[in-house]
Amino acid sequence: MAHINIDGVQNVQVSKPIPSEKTPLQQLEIMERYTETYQRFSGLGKARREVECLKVIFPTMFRRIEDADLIAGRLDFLPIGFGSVTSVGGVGHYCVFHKLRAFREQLDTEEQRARVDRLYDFWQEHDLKTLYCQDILGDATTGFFMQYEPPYMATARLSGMMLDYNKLVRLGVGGIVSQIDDRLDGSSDDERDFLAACRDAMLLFQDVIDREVELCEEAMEGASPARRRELALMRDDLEAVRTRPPETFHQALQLFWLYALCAGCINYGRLDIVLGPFLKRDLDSGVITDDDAYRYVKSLWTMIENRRTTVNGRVIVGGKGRPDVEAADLFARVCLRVCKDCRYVEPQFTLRFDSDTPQDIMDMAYDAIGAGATYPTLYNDDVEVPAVEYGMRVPREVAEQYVPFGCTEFVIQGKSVGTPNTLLNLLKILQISLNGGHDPYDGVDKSAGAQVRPLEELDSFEKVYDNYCRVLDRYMDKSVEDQYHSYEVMNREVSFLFTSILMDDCIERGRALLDGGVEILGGTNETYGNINTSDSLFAIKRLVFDEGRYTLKQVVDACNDDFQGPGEERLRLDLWHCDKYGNDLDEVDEMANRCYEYVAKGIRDRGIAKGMGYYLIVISNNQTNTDWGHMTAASPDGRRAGVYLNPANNPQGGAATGGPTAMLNSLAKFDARYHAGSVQNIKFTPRMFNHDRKKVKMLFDTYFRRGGCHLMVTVCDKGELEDAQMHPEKYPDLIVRVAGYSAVFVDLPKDVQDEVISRTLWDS
Amino acid sequence: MGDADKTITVMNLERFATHDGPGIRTAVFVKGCPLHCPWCANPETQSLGPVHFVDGERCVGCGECARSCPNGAISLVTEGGRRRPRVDPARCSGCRACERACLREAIVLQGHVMSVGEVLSVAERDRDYYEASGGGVTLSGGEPLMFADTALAFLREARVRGLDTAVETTGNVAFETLRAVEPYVDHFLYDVKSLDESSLRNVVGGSVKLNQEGLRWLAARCPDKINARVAVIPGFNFDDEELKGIIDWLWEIGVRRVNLLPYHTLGLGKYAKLGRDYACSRSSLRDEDLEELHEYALSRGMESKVGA
Repeated sequence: MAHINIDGVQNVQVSKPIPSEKTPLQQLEIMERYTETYQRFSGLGKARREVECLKVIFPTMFRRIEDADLIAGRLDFLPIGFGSVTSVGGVGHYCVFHKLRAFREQLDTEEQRARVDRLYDFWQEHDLKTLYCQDILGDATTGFFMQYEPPYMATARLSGMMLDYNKLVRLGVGGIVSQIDDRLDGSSDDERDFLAACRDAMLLFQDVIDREVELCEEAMEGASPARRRELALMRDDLEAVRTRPPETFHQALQLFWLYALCAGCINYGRLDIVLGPFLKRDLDSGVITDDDAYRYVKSLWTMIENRRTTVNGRVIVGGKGRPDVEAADLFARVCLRVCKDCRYVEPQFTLRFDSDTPQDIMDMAYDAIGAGATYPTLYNDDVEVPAVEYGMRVPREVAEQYVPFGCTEFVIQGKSVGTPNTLLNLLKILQISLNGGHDPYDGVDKSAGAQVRPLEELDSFEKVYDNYCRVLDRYMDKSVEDQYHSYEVMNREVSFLFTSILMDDCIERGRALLDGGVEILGGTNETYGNINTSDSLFAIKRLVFDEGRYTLKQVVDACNDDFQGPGEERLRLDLWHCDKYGNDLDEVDEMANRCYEYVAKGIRDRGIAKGMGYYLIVISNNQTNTDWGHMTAASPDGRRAGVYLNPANNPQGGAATGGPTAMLNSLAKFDARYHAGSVQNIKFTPRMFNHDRKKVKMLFDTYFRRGGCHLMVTVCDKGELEDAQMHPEKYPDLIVRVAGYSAVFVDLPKDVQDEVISRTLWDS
Repeated sequence: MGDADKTITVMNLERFATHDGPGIRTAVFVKGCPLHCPWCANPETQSLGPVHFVDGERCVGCGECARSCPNGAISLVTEGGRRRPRVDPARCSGCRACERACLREAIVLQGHVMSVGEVLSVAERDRDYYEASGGGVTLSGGEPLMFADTALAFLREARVRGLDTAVETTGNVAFETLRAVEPYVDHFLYDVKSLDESSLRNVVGGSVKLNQEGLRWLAARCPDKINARVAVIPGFNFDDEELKGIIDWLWEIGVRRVNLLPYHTLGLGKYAKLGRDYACSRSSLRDEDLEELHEYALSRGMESKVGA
């Protein structure tokens, strides 16, 4: 077996994390205890090992309560521990090696550092992600996340789990324990291991509640009378939900929050369904005031922000499939107020809407966007629900529970796994196909076994296209196998107990999430450079085959020279000025759609053949389009070597010149049924967005009626971003939508800033 | 030749135009204007001959454009210590060889000749947006009614295609043209710059008589189609008495809607690219500067709006 070292940055991290509360020595001891426990319980079943390991970190790693907190629950994580995603800790039993090395430097003595080294060496053989990488890495075709030389990356993670919090607030802790107990009766050995561990996890959760009670009491010492009353309420409500289901909004909020922390979930989903009825009841009966509701939600916003996951933190309101619409909308309105006032980069606040959404909610949403919050992001249920129904092959009522997580990928709340564990750089794949199977970036063979035709044989456009598809086919074949294998490896190592407990139908089936427990085993594949690829193909078609202005060899050679050869800059300009996607031009948009459908259907069909519930592409991007672009050669769309790839399915920066209607018309052309989310960014000046608000609303309304599925809107001034690059100190709270996430602009790396600036800013 | 086949020189085709008539519109800016307002925000539309923008920041003075020109229309001149091309419009044939020769894309011939049908086919792609917002197409310029036959062809063809039409005019056009196009126009965005014959003639080269005659006729015939537009220009008409006089006159002739347009400097960069001096104020007016006039128009019973 190849020994793979995946030491290095493993996730996009723009927001700066809050350091651990524990001293370095305490942290070291916890990690050692965790490691010993892992060793001791290996061989006693993965579920048992998991819960025993969880007991090492819970409730120990919970932090003290901050002065402004109105709900309890702050959690630290260490370079070694248990989790679901790389954004908080890592995946399964994890070690984040570069963080462990950085931690090592905080220690005082050689002896302590040697102890870290022993941990490092041990986890080199046991970190879940490393185990996965050992299976799938080995040649130049496949990279780990974030390794950008290959045209394809695969990783193990369990991103985007959105749990069934309705079940939690309906049954309460006690009710869930009873459900497990009922199921334990007459269970098989296999089932018993899993269910007993689930039961222990719920008891551990009660320990966490007890610890939070203590932390409330500690915080009360020396606090002002007003603060003591708040803390007393927190303490009482923690005690209230220790066993019984919550009865008030505050109790429900508290219970949900602590559970999400224990499960390592960083996307929260449709909280209006979960919390709305509690809110309504409390407001109706006078238990709380509007102001209380606002303060509680604001506290939740702060807690979510403080987890600093950069690309996650989804809170979703609105849309179809909500049993108590009135109560849910009440909650949505509070969130909209909080979102506008806070202007945090997280939560990624999301509004699902349809033709029935009340006008005042839409207006509040536009007001928040117009104020520069970048939130809410907008999802059009009239398009998305039928698309999900088809794409994921689920009944309408299940499709109604779709939720975008992370950068935009969809899952079904409480019912599906949809983690994006595979990623394709389509532009690199095109380049490999044009260079006899070699990547012009580094000259390495990355044909992945495809029969790549040499350039001389590509004497028609259809042959060029077919050659691209041949290479892409091989990578799609790899993708589905590696996606599936990530589940096999994760399942071999862990049960994801807290997640399993709130996912249909793990408890009833007596099986862990990835062990046949989850109702819908889906998955997603992030595709990058979609538009660079189709624009490149279009430019080849037009300039080489339709007009004969250049030979294919001239174009490919010029790209491989990064247009530095004689006459090649002229060639580049001709490529760049060739019609581009994003301007409502049928021929080039059809090329984009042809490429889109090929990869989208290719992935979808392979998922079905593999027996997965669904496996769909997502056209999102965090900053991977920028990072991957650095290691991608110049391309026939006129893009120079190393330049960022186009963001999501938006045009390359500078290519959209026909105005916002033209851009939106292009964006609306992809059939939403074949993807599980596609990020649509648009950027306006305040002058246009706020002064011409009525017309901008009509613009959006029409776009959505024409089949637009989604929009993420940034409102910023002309020159403002450029000025912020030069004078960051003046713009501490200037927020932009990068793609699937928002960020404080000045916290972004310069190259990502440049990519955001390059996008067309619509002004009046 | 049918209306759709007639050609026009389009200087800019702006989709999602929000300030050129009601709703979401596509504005078509055509070439040629009888006036020469020194504050014009689209100075490239004024002349009838070919006009090039030369971007001083991009141009390195290499002279490739001059060498490429088959007609010898480009010479290099030294301005402020830097060499830059100057185009003789009389010799330019509009072949765009200079554009292709310039790898820095510093020199660009403005405008494209398009058929009416081509232009309207682009505009029709946003039909859904027009229908949702009460928008349509706007013919603007320059002075779009300067060439009666193409303007008529455009407006008639737009009508055939069921598009709402607006015209932005200086009113300095032959009366017969106005009369000919009127049945095909849904909205006249009609400039009234001054009531003073000598100042209009001396500063912009326009005729008050022509301007007033046209508007009077429209006001009598189709008052609902009219939005009078009063651009407020410091050093020209930014004078309480004069502006109120314009409002009063509009009211008298039966115009009921007016847009008060605060002077802006958004066109300033274009003068540099044309190698022309800009003689007007370098600071824009704010909406608030027109508040009093706006109140006055309202008090007269006008439907007034600051901004387009």
